Amino acid sequence: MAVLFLLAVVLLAWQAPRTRPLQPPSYVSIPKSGEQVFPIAVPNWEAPEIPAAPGERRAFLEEQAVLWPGNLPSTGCDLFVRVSLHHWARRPVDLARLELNPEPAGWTALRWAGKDFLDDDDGDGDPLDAGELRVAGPGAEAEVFCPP
Amino acid sequence: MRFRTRALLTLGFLVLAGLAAGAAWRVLKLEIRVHDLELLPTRAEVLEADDAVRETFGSDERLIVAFTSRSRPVTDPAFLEDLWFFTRELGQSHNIRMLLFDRLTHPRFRSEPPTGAPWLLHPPDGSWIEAALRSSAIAGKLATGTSRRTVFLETPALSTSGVRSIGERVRQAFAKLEERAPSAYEVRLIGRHVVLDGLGQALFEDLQRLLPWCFALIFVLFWGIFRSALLAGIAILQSGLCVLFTLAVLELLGHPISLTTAMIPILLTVLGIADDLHLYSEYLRLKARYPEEPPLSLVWKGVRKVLFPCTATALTTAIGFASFLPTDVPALRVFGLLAGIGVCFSWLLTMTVVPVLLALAPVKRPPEWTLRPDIPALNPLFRGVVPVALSLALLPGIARLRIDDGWTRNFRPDHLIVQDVRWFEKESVGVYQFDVMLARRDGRPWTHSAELRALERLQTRAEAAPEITAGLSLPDLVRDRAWELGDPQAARPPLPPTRREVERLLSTYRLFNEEIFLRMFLDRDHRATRLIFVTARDDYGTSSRARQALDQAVRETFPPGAVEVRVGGSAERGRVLIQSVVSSQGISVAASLVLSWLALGFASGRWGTALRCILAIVWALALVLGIAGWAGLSLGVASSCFLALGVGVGLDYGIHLAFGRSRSGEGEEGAIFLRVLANVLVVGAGLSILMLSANPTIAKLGLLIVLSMIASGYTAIVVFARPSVADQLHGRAWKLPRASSASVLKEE
Repeated sequence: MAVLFLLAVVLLAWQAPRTRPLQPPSYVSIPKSGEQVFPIAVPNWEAPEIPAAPGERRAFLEEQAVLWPGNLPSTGCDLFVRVSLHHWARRPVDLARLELNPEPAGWTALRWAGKDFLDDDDGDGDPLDAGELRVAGPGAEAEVFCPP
Repeated sequence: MRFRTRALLTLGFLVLAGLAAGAAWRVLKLEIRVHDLELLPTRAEVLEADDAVRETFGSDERLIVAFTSRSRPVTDPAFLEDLWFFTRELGQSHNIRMLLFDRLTHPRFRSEPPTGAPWLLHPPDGSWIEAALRSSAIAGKLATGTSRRTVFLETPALSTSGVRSIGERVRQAFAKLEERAPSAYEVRLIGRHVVLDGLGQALFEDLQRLLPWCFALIFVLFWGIFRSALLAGIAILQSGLCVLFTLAVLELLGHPISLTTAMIPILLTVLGIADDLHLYSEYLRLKARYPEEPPLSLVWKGVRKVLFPCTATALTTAIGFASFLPTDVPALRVFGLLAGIGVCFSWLLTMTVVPVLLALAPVKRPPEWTLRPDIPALNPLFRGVVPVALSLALLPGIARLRIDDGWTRNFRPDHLIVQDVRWFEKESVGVYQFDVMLARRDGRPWTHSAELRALERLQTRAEAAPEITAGLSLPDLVRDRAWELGDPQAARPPLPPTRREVERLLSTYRLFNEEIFLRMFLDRDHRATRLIFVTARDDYGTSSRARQALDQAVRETFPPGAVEVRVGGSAERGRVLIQSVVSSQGISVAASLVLSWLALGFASGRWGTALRCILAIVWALALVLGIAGWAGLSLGVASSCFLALGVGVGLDYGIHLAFGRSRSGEGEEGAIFLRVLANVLVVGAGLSILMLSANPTIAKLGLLIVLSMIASGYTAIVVFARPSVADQLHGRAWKLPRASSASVLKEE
């Protein structure tokens, strides 16, 4: 009996380090950089302070912008459309196709009407069509940054 | 006592004190944690499904802050003002500010922006919210309560400490709201993490309450049995040291106090003193017979006398617990390992420390029953008609046994968490979910309209089951967004006819900073999709029926082999874990019975007697299962543990009766018989403390254990009482004759 008991003790001692503590799975976030900015979704917080100087302004908008879906070819100029009080959508923009003349400073402030966001006039799958970005008028803020 | 002996004893006690201090230091660092994954087999299909879902769609463990007005509907402007005030207060915390999500009142698309707000998304007014609740599936199902006076805010539940911190922040924000609008609102925190964290706290409070009562009861019982506070104190010291060392090992191995390990201190406190009882009574018997012998010599004689039965009982108890080790359920493995180690500590202390203390303790007058082991008169039916009648009456109850459990059943019904969960069950679609992950084998993307329509059919079929309170899927996201971008007063549009239109609508989730919600339902390549089905209740029956309905819906929707289906989620985990824990218990009980028989047979060479011990305990457990069946006591995660405990502890009585007698031990039979009765009384009464637990499932376990102690004591006596004893049980009281000193000395 003593031998059997000793065997049981040995078995338990052998199993002790093999019974490892549970490691709960770590949090997995799927969206990649540029697909989601924080705060998540669109809260009702106060408006952020946006720098006025173009360089700082662009850096701020880049931090607060999601990348436009799809593989749009790079053109050198970036458009930032203000989607909410807190976040923007960023995409490359072909100024010639959109019939736009950038400001010499490299920063152009425009507007994009909500109804134009919903349609795709030329049927190319991109809702941003020629003539939809206007210098003034109703709609969301749209800012184009080009290299000076 | 010689100087050398004194020096050795002093050194021994110093070493013991040092070990106890080290163990106490370890125990102070013990954590309390309850996690459902600990109760699932590590290779369970549901865990693989959960991993796949998590890697494909991301983690979505959520904490829900239910914000309820006592009088106003969610569309009331005053309600919305107060809600925004509350969320802004919550947003004082950086983490909450970054992650809090309000599905109802967060800004939505307006093609004509208000003056001075040149962007696309704007806070909705009451009429828009009214329309959203009517026409949008996700807002209608998740954003508000059925009373339309509650808004559900959501935040990811990253960790237990994170959940506690959110709870604290919610209380602070609510206090501010109370200053602004006294008694106008209620706030509740709901979620699986809240329940599990609350369960951990409740377990700890329970342990703090029950353990002192257990020690007190053991003390009183030992005092009553041996008429000595000192002997009772030694038993308590032995139990305390055993619990301390075992918990120190628990901490040393990195395990927390969990749902299963929380029972170990009480179990060891009670089981630890069972061997003491036999050693004490043997020592006192010898002391009464040989008063002239030195106590140290007598006590070692006593140790030698009880060594075989006590080692056998410790071994079979350890086997009973260790039989959990081959199972694949981490919590049961840890429970089995630590309880087994605790039993070994207990044996070691009983065979080393307790005898020394016993020899040093001045015992003026041993109790009468150890000197004259009188067996009370019992009815002759005790061994004849009664067992047969009991078996015939109780055993059919086994057919009525059912498996059932749920996390909230671990709280007393008036616990705040239970009240909140019950409220949530009525007010919302539920918090327990099935994640159905579908991947097409032909590689077609789920954004094709035909595939989306198939998903919609599957959702409709599954939602028809009464157990499923709501379903959410990719078609909901597509149709909700189509509605949101159109006329709010229009009905929810059907699925778009083209893939291009579907993908245009889905692309707005990224633009509106809601990519995370789209990715919960569709992977980046559009090859895998997830449907979420919610049940209001977390019990086994609801989850099992919901799972059957899901399987049926998938079979009716897709041809065999067309899609790869994986099912995960908290509801599925709950279902699987209850099933696996109960079945693992069954397997481990069978294994421990076989191993105990082999160990007893091998060590004693009396295979037939060993088999009778096993049959006696099987009979006892069958009787208890029958009682449980007739009484409607269902078996769950904790309550099914009584089977293993019943084998481990209940087998002891048969072993003492069968193997405790020496060949010429005249008068021993009555002593052993009384010791077994005392053992049943002490262990049964000690474990009955579990019945006072605030955790109803632990209380149920306590009841089943007590029943199994009584039943195993009874069956052991019926099986092993010798005819000579049995004859004397038939009617008249009798006294065992005192053994002659010569015969006892010869034997010893």
